Amino acid sequence: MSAEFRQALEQVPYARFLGIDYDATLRLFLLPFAEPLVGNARLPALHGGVVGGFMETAAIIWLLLHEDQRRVPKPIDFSIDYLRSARARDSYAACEVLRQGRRIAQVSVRCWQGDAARPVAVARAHFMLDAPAAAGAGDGAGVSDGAAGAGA
Amino acid sequence: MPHSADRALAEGFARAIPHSAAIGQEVLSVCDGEARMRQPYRVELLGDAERGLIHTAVQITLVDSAFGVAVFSALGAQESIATLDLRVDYHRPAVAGADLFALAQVERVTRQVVFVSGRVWQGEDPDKATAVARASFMRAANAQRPVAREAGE
Repeated sequence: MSAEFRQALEQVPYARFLGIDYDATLRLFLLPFAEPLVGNARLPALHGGVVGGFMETAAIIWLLLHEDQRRVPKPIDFSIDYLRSARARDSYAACEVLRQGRRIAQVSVRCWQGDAARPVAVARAHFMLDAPAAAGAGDGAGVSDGAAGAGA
Repeated sequence: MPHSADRALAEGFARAIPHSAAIGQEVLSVCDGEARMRQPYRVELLGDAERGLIHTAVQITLVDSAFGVAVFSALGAQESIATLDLRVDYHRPAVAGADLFALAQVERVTRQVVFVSGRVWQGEDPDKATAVARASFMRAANAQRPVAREAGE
């Protein structure tokens, strides 16, 4: 476990509660299967909220690790499509920042289990970013962020 | 006043849904397509330790559970359902130290699909939502699976 990821877990205690891990080489998040994550004991299947929560948390930690965010980005909204039921096994998530402005980032997340080509869910989320440390200097560039500003 | 069948659903809820039991979710009431739930505060639910905020993902799980309970109460607990999609808008931060409450309401039941909406809040005023959410569910997911599932399994 990298020092950066360990620090992210301290900032986001709920990530530790779910048991999320991160592979820095593959750039993938891992949610190891555990009995308390089950939402449907008959199938059995992971709780849909756990799948969503794993994906949202992955997006948050991705921004902390890779987009120079020192403080936890504030979630604005989260939208998930469930494609297959998530079975009682390990889950993986990959994040992609589709757009990052000065204030807003839009992150797309894919979650799968056995086969990366067959996702169990896809999600997208918007986050409010912390103002950059040198906010004064770059302020004139704000026009390039006009679209995201409307959403905030 | 909840129906007796609904009371049984509320009591059986924690046993039937291991994650809800693990995280401490409680069903407060359920009746005819409307469910109220509570997520007691716990320190491990924080999503932003520095600012002292509960993780927004905890609200995803809470509304998803409440939606499931509301839909079951509208359909009868024997019919299985599958969540198609879920959207949550975070209107306010959920602060540390206070429980979360959720209200889920079934808005429309069609032959194939159930539409639901809901909200999450802290304190006394449901109008001061920390999150509002919307989801759609596929009915009889065990009998007729969506095409995508059939192809994938």
